[in-house]
Amino acid sequence: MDVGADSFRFNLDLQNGLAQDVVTAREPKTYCLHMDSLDRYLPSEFQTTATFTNFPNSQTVSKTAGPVLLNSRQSGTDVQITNRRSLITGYFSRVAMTELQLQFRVPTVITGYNDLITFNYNTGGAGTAASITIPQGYYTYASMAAYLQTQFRLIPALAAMTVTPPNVLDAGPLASVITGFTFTCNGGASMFFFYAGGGSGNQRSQEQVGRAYRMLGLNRACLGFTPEFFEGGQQSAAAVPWATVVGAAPFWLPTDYVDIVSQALTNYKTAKDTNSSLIAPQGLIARVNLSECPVNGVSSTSGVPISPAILGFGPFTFYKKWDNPNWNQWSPNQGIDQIDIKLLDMWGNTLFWTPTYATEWAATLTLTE
Amino acid sequence: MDVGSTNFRFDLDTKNGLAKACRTYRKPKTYTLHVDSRDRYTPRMFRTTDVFTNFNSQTVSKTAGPFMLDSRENPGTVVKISNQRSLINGYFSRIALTEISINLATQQILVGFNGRFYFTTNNAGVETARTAAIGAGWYTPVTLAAAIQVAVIAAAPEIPSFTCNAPYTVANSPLQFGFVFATNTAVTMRMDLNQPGVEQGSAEASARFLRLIGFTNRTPFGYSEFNEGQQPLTAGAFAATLSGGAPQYAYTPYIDIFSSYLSNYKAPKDANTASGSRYNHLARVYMAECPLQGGGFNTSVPVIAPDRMIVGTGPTIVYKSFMKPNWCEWSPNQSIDQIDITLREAGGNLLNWSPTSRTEFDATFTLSE
Repeated sequence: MDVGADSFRFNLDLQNGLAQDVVTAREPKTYCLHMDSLDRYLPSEFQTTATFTNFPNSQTVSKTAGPVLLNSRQSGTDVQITNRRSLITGYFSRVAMTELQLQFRVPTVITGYNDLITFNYNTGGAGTAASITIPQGYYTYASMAAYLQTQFRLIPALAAMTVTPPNVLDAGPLASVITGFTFTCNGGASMFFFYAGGGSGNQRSQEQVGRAYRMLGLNRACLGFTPEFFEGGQQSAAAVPWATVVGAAPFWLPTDYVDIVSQALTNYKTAKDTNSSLIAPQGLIARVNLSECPVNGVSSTSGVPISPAILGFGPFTFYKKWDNPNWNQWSPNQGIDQIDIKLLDMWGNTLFWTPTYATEWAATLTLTE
Repeated sequence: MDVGSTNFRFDLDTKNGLAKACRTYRKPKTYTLHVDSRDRYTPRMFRTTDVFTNFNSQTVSKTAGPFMLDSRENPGTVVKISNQRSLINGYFSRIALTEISINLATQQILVGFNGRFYFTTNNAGVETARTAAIGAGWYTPVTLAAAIQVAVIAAAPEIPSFTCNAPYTVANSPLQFGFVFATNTAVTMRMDLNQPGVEQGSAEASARFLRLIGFTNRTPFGYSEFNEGQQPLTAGAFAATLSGGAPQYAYTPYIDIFSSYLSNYKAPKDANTASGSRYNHLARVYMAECPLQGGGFNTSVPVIAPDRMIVGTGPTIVYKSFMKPNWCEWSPNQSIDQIDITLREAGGNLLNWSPTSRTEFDATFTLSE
């Protein structure tokens, strides 16, 4: 029993009759479930072999061994966590993702994804179609320009071609800022970039080319189209080759944002979250815009980004806290015994993942009464 | 009684009859309890000796504690504060951790925790299992590469020309974003997750080190990049050069905060998705969530703030303000006469603490009606 509870009361705000009629509202009770995408690897999934000793009680070992030994389809971007028990015990009516730390390991160029550019070059006669495939990995503007220039120069007609990177990052005080790649054929040659037309090509290569052009910042001029601002219907006139051209600002991140999808967490939502794309994935509980988190940088000599402007030059990690979480309805009668989280890129594909380019995440789910 | 409260009143909004009927809602009354982990040291824990004079001064005890008292009983990462009085007086229904600042001084490499790794060399068909040990301390990417190089050569005399390179840029090619091991002789090598007969602690130490240097991809272990089948039961192939994925220099990607006392009145307990989930998991602080300021860690890089990716290459302070605090139910009849806080790393182990590597924290608890 509270000592003195009946003896006194601090009610200065009431006794003079001036207290206003207000309602005091407080936040609901909350409970947290802290997730780690690497928790998808359980010790029970491994067996001891001649070169690996499994420890059935050590998830530390299994979280490291998982990407090395288990099927790579168990990726960090399409995660099912189930520990054969309730992940958190209790009766909850709302659940929301409130925090996320994403170790983003998607490279600038991905094989079969944004690694193909197609172009047509000529030296006065009929044009010749050609293509360049860019190796998978992280690039700076400079290393990309150097690689493309080397590949262009393997073609005899383009042996003097130059590719100059944007100088927006290191333009001196008196230097004009050029925000796009500059392609100059030299040697009397001309060229233009193109999408496969006339029904040729396949969907995948068109998507590869489109993403690569977006990455490089190619504009209408690069595709041999004029004027810059087009007021007709769809462009159908033939391209006009150029001897030199300057593109627009590149998009160095392979995706502008990451969409987070969960079927389990949206199961009890009467209306489902989605996005404006044609495929409109259901159960899209959140979107993380990759530019929303300020990232501090170090020298490029250590292979990591210098400023947020060049995110995509190397691996980076960022954190998001939802000021206004997307509160999902939940049934108090339903235990939370599994959680699925899928990360999608801006094209609706599951975010690229391999054991070498292993994007992983940790997140906090907040549950309330 | 309020002086003058009956003499005047500002009621312009009501006397002209134009005020709309509405209710005002307000936040609950709040009270804060500010906790310093060093407050676990109180003067009564000391006595005057030949080398120390005790006073009724917590300033003295807070600084003398790490020098004089049992280091295992009084770490800053397993804190119990009890001052033989109520820490805060009042009747409260909710309590939440709303701010925390962690002075993270836990060394990046600790012997026995993550200071070893295993590999096998192949010298003309003769396979030899080796163990390399890395000394405790803080490492930049460059100094860590140097330490690995020394450790491997010491462990494996058959590869005296072994080199280890930190991530670096490559002209005209994608970025080399992981560590690269090279034997530089005809002798080849492969990494091992662990080796037959190792103890669990050693296997976990190896797992943590491999994660730190980004060797969680398959190729350094002699396997193909992507595994579409079951766990391989045979040893991987040997190679002269091994390339890892993106390193994660931090000792842990997040710090988990536990408290049994503060969770006492929570009907459901907070949890996490680890297979050995501990309850009473109040909060998680992500290493990437705190924007860092600081000087360069490399003398060739004068004053550049460290990137979040390389948090962990030196002592740092992480601060978190909880936008959506985890509101714990509390009993108004229960006084708050003690608080226990435990800090754990991603594997569920206590965050390391020693008198030299003193991880301490300051926190604000908010209590409300």
